[in-house]
Amino acid sequence: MKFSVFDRILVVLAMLVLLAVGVGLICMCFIFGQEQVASLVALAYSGTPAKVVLACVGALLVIVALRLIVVALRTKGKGDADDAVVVGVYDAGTALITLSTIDMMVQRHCKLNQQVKECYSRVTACEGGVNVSLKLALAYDTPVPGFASELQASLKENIETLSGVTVNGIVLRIIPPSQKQLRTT
Amino acid sequence: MSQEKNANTEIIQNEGGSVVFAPEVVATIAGIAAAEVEGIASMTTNVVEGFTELFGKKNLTKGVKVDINEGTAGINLSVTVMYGIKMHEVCKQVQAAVKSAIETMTGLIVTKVDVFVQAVEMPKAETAPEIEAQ
Repeated sequence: MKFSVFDRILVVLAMLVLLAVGVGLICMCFIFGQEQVASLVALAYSGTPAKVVLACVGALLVIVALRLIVVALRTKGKGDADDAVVVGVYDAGTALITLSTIDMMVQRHCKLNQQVKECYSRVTACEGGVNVSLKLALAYDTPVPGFASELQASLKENIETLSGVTVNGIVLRIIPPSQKQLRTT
Repeated sequence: MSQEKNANTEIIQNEGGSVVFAPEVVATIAGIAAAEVEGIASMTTNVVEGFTELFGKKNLTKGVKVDINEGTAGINLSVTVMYGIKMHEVCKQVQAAVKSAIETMTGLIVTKVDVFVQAVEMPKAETAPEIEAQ
């Protein structure tokens, strides 16, 4: 997986906070006395600015922890045999491709079309290949029957040519655009 | 994916003595050979490997799992392929390259090279043609 710029910033800030906490704990043990530590703790309740600072530090640590948990759960099981289909069995071994990879290709192919305003896709494995389910919100003046057959043909060809996986069927459902899409048009 | 953690390493006996291969060595060879194939964007990492790479630690064995047993090696690779390349062709090339590299450099017999395409890297400049609407 690749870490985005936001993730890297979060990690750096979290490391700085942990560094400060570590140094603080060491100072507590060897430099500060009990009264000094107590007065430092009392500072946290001395006024709103101190509380805000502490709250921000705590929120940062929570955000970092949640982000790591989300990423770990999202990638958990990725690459499992159940999520993949066989591209081919060759002399040297087997080649597989994950369904999420095929889904990325489907998304890209559909979104390149200017008639498609929103695209929700789902790729499932079946005997001999994959099935693709699409929910598309189209531009107002799009002639749907012709557009649908052309998209299904081009998508099938694109996926089969690039991945080597057979596309058994493409189910296309036309949906109304979301409120967000309506506001932007 | 990570290489086999057990300490069992492959020992090849020859006239002068024995040659011992740690799985990490075989994984490194496989990882480099696979990454050099045209069409492979990168080897796929998991969360831990990605996290350690943040701190500048280059991991040549990322995305590679090695299973060594009695003079033979089985390799599992997780890769990210560039969009627009025929994946089945790239997978065949990766299998051939990895098998050749390991057999040449280590003398181990590669029984299988399984390639797992886990992601596609999209081109940075989107200039793909549009589908003409009727």
